Amino acid sequence: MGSQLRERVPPRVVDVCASCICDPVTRLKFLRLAKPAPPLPPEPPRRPPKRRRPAIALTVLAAALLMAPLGRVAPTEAPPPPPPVGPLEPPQDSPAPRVWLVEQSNGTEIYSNGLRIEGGPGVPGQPRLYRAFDRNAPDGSRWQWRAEPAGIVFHSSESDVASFEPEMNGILKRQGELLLAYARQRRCYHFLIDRFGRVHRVVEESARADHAGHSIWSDDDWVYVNLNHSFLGVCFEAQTQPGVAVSPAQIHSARVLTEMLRSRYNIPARNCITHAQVSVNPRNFRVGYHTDWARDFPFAQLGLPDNYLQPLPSLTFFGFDADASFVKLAGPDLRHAVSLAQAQVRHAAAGRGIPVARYRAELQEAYARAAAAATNPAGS
Amino acid sequence: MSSSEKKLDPRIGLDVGTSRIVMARRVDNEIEYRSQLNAFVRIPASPLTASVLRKEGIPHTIDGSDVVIYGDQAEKFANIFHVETRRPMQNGALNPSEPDGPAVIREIISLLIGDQKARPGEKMCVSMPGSPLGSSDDLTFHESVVRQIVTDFGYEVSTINEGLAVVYSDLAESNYTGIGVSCGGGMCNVCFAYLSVPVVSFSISQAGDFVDTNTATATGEVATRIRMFKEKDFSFNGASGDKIQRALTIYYDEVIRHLVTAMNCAFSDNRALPKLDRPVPVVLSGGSSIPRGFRERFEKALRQSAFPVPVSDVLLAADPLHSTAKGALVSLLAD
Repeated sequence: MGSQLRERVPPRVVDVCASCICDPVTRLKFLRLAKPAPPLPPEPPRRPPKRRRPAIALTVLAAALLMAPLGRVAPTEAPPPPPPVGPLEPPQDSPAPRVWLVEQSNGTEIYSNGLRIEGGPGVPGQPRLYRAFDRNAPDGSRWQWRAEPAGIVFHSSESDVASFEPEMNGILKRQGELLLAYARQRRCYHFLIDRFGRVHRVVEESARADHAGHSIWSDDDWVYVNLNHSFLGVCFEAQTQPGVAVSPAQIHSARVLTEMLRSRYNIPARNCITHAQVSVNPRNFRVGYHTDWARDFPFAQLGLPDNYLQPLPSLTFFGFDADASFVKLAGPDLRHAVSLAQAQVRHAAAGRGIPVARYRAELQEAYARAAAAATNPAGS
Repeated sequence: MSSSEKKLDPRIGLDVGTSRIVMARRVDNEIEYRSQLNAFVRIPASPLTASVLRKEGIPHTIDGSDVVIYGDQAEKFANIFHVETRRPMQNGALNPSEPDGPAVIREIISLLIGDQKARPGEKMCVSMPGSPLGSSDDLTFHESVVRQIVTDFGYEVSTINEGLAVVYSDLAESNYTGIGVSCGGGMCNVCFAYLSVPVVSFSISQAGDFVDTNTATATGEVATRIRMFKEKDFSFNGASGDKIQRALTIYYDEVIRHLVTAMNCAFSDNRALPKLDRPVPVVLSGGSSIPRGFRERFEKALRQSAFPVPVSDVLLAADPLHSTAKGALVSLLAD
């Protein structure tokens, strides 16, 4: 309604209506409803009376609605309290609930939170072994060996997806089967969640999967480079183009799967992130070589904080940068994280008293050393 | 009614200023304010010092071999130890030469709001400076760090331009149309709003600290002492034999002159200005606007200039030290 008012009502009418509201907070609320965002043009638009009258009536009605409670309660009536938060929105950094294996039979596992995983133990692969680098020395000079996953990277398959309608059932099933076969053949992920929300194990959990390629992430203590070993890959059968959503069944399955993995490996919530946040291209030192889930990932519905807001460690530790195409593709929170990381880099360079380009070049050298060490997990 | 029975609205307006951090929240339909000096001192730690500070309830942290005392108490200890207070912020943004700044700001905010985490959905609106006029200084880092500090307390954070907050605090009568000017420690922030919509906003980095530092240099005093004198005793009362008084007047006049020039520059060059059918009020707020005679001097300078926006009144905010925090709270209440 606000935008309708903005387009149609002369400011003078809004002004007069607002003057009738005694309570300053209610008055401001009304003005925001009538004029929420942009500055006014130099001249109020002239419109024929026919069009103006309903809009004026609408404004007066809005003002009346806003004023109505004033007759019943004190002028300083408090606005209503914040809306209750739904059960799918936990506090930040909440620990994962304890989840355990209930039973395992015929290649299917059932877990205590209702998670059901199909596909048996998964395709075998190279055992997981990687270096986690000390955050205070991310150039690869201090590290520790790890064999347990440190986090989860969420992907989307970006494969063909038919319309989610009953009459497309056969095609939907066939597309899922083909994708699963392909993923197993290429050892692409650890888990695949199909359009119906079924969770398939692809590669066994103790092995690496080829899901993240050149990639970087960090938590409070450690930096991880090239996450195929260090992070589990969970893929939604989906396309992440704007307007195409994953199904509620997929979200539910992703939530219970995330709970199970976080419980089993003690994974911090901040290490559950999307492929677009971690993917880099070392050839041109740009982030976002892969851009799946660059926006709209349902973190809250998976019981996770909005991890899009974390500054990208690829920028702050290793001198990568985001180009305009990535920024355009990213959602507002990820854009904010990029600008935060860029500001941190500028600030650090200023602190060292050197130009940003030179500071980045130093970070990029550190990346080369860390990447060489990280991709040689069997080395000493 | 005991304090435990008071109806506490969880929404908070926060003014993170160079000089002070002010919190506003509604208790029993009245707005309650709390504020602390945005400053700290480091003194050498000893078991006795720590124990005395703890007993006396003086806010502090231990950092290695030092005790960091922050907030209002920092000034007292600075006087006792004959040192300058250190400032987490400078010119309206984080002070790059104080790496401990964000940690101190976090402690001061914790002192104001209590150190328990917010419940999910609880909101805080934080004031942010406008873009500096004619400067390429970037405030992204400052905004991001302050946002992060507040987010860490568990709040859903929104921000509001400092000048707009002054409009929301003091210009309800004119339907939130007018010019809000916040004259703080590190910056003067200006915002012209039309029916609550911000149209022009900017900041300049000459304000109270500029006056204090230059007066201190001219008179050979320390800036902290100048600030205390300014807040307690200073007024624009014409010719005076007192050296500090005279220097303060000169540098205040310099700030006013710079502010009026900047306003003329920003408003003359803006095509987004609406066509006004009546003059608009200007409201002054912030600690630097408090000295007696400041409002009159500013009004005289503005009216003598060729200011392109017709001005009705130049007012002093009802509560100049708290108006930014109040405006941030009002903005949140109207969401």
